Amino acid sequence: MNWLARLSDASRRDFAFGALTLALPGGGVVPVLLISLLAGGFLGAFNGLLVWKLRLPPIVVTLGTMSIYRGVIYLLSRGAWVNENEMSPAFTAFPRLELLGLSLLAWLSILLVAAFIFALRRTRLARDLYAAGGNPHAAEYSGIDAGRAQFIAYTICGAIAGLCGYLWVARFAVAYTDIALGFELSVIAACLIGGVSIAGGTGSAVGVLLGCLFIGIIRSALPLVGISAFWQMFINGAVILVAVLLSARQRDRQGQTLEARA
Amino acid sequence: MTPGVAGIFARRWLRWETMLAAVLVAEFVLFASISPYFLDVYTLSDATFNFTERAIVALPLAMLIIAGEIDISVAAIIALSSVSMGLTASTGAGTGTVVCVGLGTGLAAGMINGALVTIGRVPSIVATIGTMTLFRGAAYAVLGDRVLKDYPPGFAEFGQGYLVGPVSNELALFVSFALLFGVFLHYTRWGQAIFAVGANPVASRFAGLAVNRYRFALFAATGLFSGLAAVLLTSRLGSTRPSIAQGWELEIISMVILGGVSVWGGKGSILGVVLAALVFGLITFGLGLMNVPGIVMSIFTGSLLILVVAVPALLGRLRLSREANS
Amino acid sequence: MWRSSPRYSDPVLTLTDIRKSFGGVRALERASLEVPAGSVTALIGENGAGKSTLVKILTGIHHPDSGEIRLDGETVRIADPRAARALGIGVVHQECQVFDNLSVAENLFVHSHPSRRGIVDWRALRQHAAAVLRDLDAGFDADLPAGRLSIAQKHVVQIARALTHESRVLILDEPTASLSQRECAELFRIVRKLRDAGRAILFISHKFEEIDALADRYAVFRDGVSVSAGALKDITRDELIRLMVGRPVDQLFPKIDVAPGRELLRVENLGRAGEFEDISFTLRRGEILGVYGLVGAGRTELAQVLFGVTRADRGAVHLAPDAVDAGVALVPEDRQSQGGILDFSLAANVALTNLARLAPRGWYSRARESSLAREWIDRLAIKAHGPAQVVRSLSGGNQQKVVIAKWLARAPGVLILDEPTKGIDVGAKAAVHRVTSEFARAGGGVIMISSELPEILGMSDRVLVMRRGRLRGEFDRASATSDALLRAASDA
Repeated sequence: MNWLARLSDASRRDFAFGALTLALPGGGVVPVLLISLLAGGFLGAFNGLLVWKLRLPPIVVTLGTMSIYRGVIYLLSRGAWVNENEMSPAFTAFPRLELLGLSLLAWLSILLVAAFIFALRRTRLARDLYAAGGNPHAAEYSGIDAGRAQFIAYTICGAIAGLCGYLWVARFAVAYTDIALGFELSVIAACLIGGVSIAGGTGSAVGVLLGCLFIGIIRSALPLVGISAFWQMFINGAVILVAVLLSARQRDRQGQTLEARA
Repeated sequence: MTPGVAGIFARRWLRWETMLAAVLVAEFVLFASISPYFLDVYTLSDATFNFTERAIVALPLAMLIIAGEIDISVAAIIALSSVSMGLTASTGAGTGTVVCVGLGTGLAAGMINGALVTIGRVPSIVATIGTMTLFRGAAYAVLGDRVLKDYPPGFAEFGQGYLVGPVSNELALFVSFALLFGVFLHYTRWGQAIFAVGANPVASRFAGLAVNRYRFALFAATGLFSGLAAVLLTSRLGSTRPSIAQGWELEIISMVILGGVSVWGGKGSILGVVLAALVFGLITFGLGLMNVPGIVMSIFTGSLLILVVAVPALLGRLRLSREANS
Repeated sequence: MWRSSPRYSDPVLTLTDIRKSFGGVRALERASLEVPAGSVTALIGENGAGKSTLVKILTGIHHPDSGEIRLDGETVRIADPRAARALGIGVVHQECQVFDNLSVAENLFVHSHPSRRGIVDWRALRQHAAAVLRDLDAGFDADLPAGRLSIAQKHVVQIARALTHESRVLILDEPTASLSQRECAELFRIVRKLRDAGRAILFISHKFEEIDALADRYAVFRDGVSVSAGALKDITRDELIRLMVGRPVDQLFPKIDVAPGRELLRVENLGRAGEFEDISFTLRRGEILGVYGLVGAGRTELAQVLFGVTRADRGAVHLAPDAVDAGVALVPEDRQSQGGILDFSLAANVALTNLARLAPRGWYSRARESSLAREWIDRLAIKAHGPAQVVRSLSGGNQQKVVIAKWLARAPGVLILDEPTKGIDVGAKAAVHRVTSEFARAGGGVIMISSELPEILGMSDRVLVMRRGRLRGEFDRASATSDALLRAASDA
């Protein structure tokens, strides 16, 4: 099973939710960061728990919680918009602080990518995820607790999504129910382009980074070449399809060579 | 009612359907006690509009899920069909042409999904996440923030008209297709083959079944019926926006799963899906009576979807642990 | 990584009166077993005798309902696969438990990466892996992705994995099922080396040739009960079979001699890129054509082209005009995933190949389905409660009978059997052979692919030998000897 794609799946629901819970208190930055990580992590953990303990299909779980979490945001906010004047200056300024010529937002991304490059290669948890993704049956027989590892992965996804929620709100200085609607599709597209296999077991942080850059460049190039922003979603869809078709091709070829060798 | 699956399973799913019927009766009693007007024929007739369009898509989607595949792009197909109908209508075309364009767009979209899965060998979840984005994206790309509402005069009849008395055209269509699909799935050899393909596609292929042909046909059918749903919905609303039918994929899939169709494929019945559609429609209607906004409904839909798959899993775990203890 | 330990004379592993049932079905009842150090104990029994349940108990996947497991005299509880490993019980499972997406080195340590506070030490991991592979004289590199290895090499990876954690008990669960003769020899060399280093080895196999070649001791299980154990030199093969089956097997290969009739199938210069090349042969009515060769020789691929699930790139297949309608049937090698639909009833499985006949106008009837199934339950003596029983709950041999029944019910012209008796017990084996012979006598043509020489020699009228995707010889019944076939099949 594909853990990285789940990573992306998880992101959006929590994302918006995290965003809203955070926009309301106007306190210091550190508690806000903590709350966003915790709230996101908690929501991710709920998904992970359903997948781990009840072995429910991840697609059903995340589709379901996607709409639940969105609905809850509405209930909590009563559909209101939270604007810049309701947020503290520190809250909105934090991601834009500059350090050595780069914004804190950029530094955070660099830090996270570096952490993931290290973690995916060097931590037991990540190696368990690769093993469980590559051959779930064998993983069970060798005593790898795949469910637990996936649960942790879901929780981490949720936490990071929560963090993104804060950064998004602070950057655009507005929070509302439909914030980041459809964002999960961009994230999934980035993972697939970055070489994360939908069948599980392969993928790297550098690949995903390149995938994100690709999507980001298209997004910023569209207005420059005079194409309406309404095309963004269509292009995302086309990109996802091309990426999955190519990876299906590749898998077929590998399958054939393996059969021939066996 | 589940052919090909042994008696234990048949009994178990029959129970599931009995349970749905019981929930349905309970809903009736509840709403009738809340509102004195509920049991009025015309109120009930109004209530059916809450589910008929979605349920019409749920029928072929149930077969697709039984065959071990899934289509998440159904709502996006509805949007794309609706947009193409709107554009056709704005050129001054007649009702017949508009409907044909709507159905044709749905069919074509379904065939694209089918081709991606059978020829492109892409897992259906991923393929239809892609086409969901693509179709909805196309609707936005073409229409932007415009609204199309210049439909020919006769067009409104489909979604707003009544066949006889309180029986709407939509309801009549749904009931006939439900019968047709039920008979097809449970009493023909093609239906039996669909169960086999879902239970074990490899063994089905080794038994000489044209597995990919079944898959392709089911994707195409799901697309066609999404097109039909688009005709009905557009006709009823009288206007098209690219955000039309937003989130419907979740509700349609929930209906199918609530109907007892296994997310792992190979099990399910049309009767269950029909009952689930009724249960679902009545709840939506009831919550509507109580002025609950649509987005809060999504909490309910999402929870229902998870509950329906979680409860059997929970019961299974309980049974296992009880066996281990005894 | 692993050291030689001194020889033990006392049993390392003792199981006493193990009981285990699954939802009312008894898998093990009074099962006892001793596995001494420095020797190979063969665990023998028909399918359903409880061998795999026992392995799963020893590896912590299942837990016994009652009974005692003692390791070096101390009672132990094996909670999960991790606990089994910690106790020094290693296992090489029947199906390959290798991670194709990971390197060989990581495969060896997949459950116990050398690490400090959760951070993997790749350098130590590679060094340890290389050392273990060197000790085993494995001829492949630790940095290779495991997906690039042959099946035999993957088995070696599994053995190496068991050795990385100082296993004193090594369980081999039918490790040779898909290995060539030469690969088996290589595997046996490694197992003997481990035995001489003082490890206790439990060897599970259906093949008496291998048991003779490798084991010192035997233990026979029947219907979940241990019926006999002792030194292999004190018992004859016939006695072992009798203990296993509980009754004498009249004839394992009931070959009926049939004079071959007209030509049924002609294959000319058939080829498919990367699989097989230049295959030509004919098959006549009433004939059983054996196809012998090592796994990977292209036999299964050829069968799939003849059946029509894949297409040939070159060449032609001609079916006699009167056999075109009847067509070609294939009983695939993997009956669990390709042969039958395990969650369907016996009746639905048999009906699956006969949908058009059972429902000529499309209307499918449950009554016709179950009467067809009843007919075949009788004809093949399938042990089942009735047509409605789910195939998953049948024993391996009876599952195979269902798969064969579903094709025979269709009355095909040509019947292709791919490893028809792989992993099924002696009784079911004889039944499958009897049915095959009867089908040929009734005028059908049979192509029987097998890696088991006794089966090929006992059943075939003619034998084709394949090696590396090409035909390397054709033998009639008189000239087909084990020696000749082996030589043609191997690279020597």
